[in-house]
Amino acid sequence: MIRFILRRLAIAIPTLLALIVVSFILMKVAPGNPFTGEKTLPKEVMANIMARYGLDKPEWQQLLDYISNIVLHFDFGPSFKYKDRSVTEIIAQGFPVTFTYGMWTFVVSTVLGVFVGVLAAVRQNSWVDYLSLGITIGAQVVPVYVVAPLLVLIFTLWLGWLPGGGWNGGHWSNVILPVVALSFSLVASVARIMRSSMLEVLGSNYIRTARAKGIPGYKIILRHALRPALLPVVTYLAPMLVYVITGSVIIDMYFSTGGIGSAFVNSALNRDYSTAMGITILYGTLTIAGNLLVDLIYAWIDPKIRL
Amino acid sequence: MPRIMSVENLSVRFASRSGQIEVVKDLNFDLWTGQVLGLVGESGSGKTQAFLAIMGLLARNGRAEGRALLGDVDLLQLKPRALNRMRGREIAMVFQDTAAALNPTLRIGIQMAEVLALHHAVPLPQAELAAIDMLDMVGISDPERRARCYPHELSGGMRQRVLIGMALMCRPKVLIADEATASLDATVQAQILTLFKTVCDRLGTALVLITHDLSLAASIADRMMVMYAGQAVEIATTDALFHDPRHPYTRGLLASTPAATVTRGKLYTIPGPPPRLLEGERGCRFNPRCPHRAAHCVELAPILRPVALDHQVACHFDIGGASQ
Repeated sequence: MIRFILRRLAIAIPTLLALIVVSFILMKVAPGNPFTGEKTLPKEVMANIMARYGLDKPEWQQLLDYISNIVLHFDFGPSFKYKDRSVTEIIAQGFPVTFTYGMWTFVVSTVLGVFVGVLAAVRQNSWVDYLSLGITIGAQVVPVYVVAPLLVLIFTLWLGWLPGGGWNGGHWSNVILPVVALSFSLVASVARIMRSSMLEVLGSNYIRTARAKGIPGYKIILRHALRPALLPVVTYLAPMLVYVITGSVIIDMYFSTGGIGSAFVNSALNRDYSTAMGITILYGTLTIAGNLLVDLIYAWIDPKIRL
Repeated sequence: MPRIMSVENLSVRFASRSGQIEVVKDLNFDLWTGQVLGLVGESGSGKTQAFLAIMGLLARNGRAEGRALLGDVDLLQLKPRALNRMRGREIAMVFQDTAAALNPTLRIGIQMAEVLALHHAVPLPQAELAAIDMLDMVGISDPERRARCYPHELSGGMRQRVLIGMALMCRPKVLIADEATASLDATVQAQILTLFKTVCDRLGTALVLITHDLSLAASIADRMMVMYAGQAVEIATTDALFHDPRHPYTRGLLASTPAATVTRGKLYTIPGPPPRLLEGERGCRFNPRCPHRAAHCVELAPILRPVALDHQVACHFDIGGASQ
């Protein structure tokens, strides 16, 4: 198990390096640079700025400098757009916001999705099942950018219960709407996967064995069926975890939460090389960590999987 | 010897697109303390469904009628909670296909212990000690270590012993073994059968051995019941069944069992396919395949009637005497 984790971490290093190189090349290939704007700068001024940020060096030199700065000083460089801010500062400001509503979304979607899925499976072909099926199909096809303004309309403008935007240091009232909006379709997906895998498990021979032992229904669900039925859900949770904690541009835009999602998009639009690279590396790291976590959960659920 | 269980007029029906299918029809039999009943018949003859019905484990579209009296409790009339108090404690079942019948995500010690913890309110750690004892009793070496294993870490034979041990945790009065040795090789099969016999003798459990293998059942059964198309066609002591079979189907079964002494010639097979089991068909269900068929066999269903002491046959003819 520990060897498995170490091996995975060792693989993570070349993966991240490859990620850095590829994104670096892609960014350089794109036309323009951080300092091209509507007003063309005088040649000398431009040359000065380029030299200031080290952009006058050959590309391979820039890449090596960048990597060595990260490895040696954990320094992701200054932002090319915001003169007095470093990439680390931008991430440090936006990521906690994203992480907060992302993790809440993850918890809410998983717990609620599993609950609804189990309920629908246990009451298969009853009104509970049909109702949840109807709602989940609906929720799955409605995109976030439709849900978000609807939520604001209902809970902010009509009912006046919750603020329609802002972060306010992560006050609970500011967290609810982003989490609900982002959870909406995820709950539905989790519920539908959970329902079908639960139905399959409930029809299996070992559940019949458990019933033959006289174990009451709720205990069969909790002790015998839930864990094996979670397996397909866990597979889905890996990409979902990465999706929610890397943030959503749409959420950041509608709710002005100031998460990292909007920073990422802006950095790409502004050719803010260092910021875009920094966030890409963050995403890459989170993806690797998320997948590792899911593999560990997998091994915990299914004893046949040996790490 | 006291009677433990008596099943009266048990019928099992399934709703299907082509109408009601009656997979078990008017089954009557008794179980006695410490005795082994061998239940034989070909696939689809209703052996398993009859006992799934008694255990309350029928598929959703299945319905059971009749009575299954365990002591003076009719299992078929029990509400789920009351039934759960009987299942696993008074009546237990060992399933075939050991790879699928055990929960792959739970250690076998836990799976065995939970039966005891549930029915006798024993704390789980204590119940696990009892599970280890039981593993020892069913002949698993190094039981402490095996109890911590997951099902996939054990061989098929060991898993079968685990399932048997699990069924015996609460010392049930009735144990149903459904093709419990079908997936095992011959030597392990023999060991398991011996184990069954020992258990019945020691605990006084009444065992029902469901199998399609006549000779296997005969090796430990005191009495035999032959089923055809959902009905009992012959019930007799094992001795009588083998030496004096009275039903044409039983005779066919015996004749189609390969004998170790015969090396030449083609093995006898009963002609024709097994019947469809739609409700409302008249006559003896075996008549299309029966060598003794007469006109009234098509019209009138025979009922199970005694032909000798402890020997019942459902056939219009008395074709007793010398066996084939």
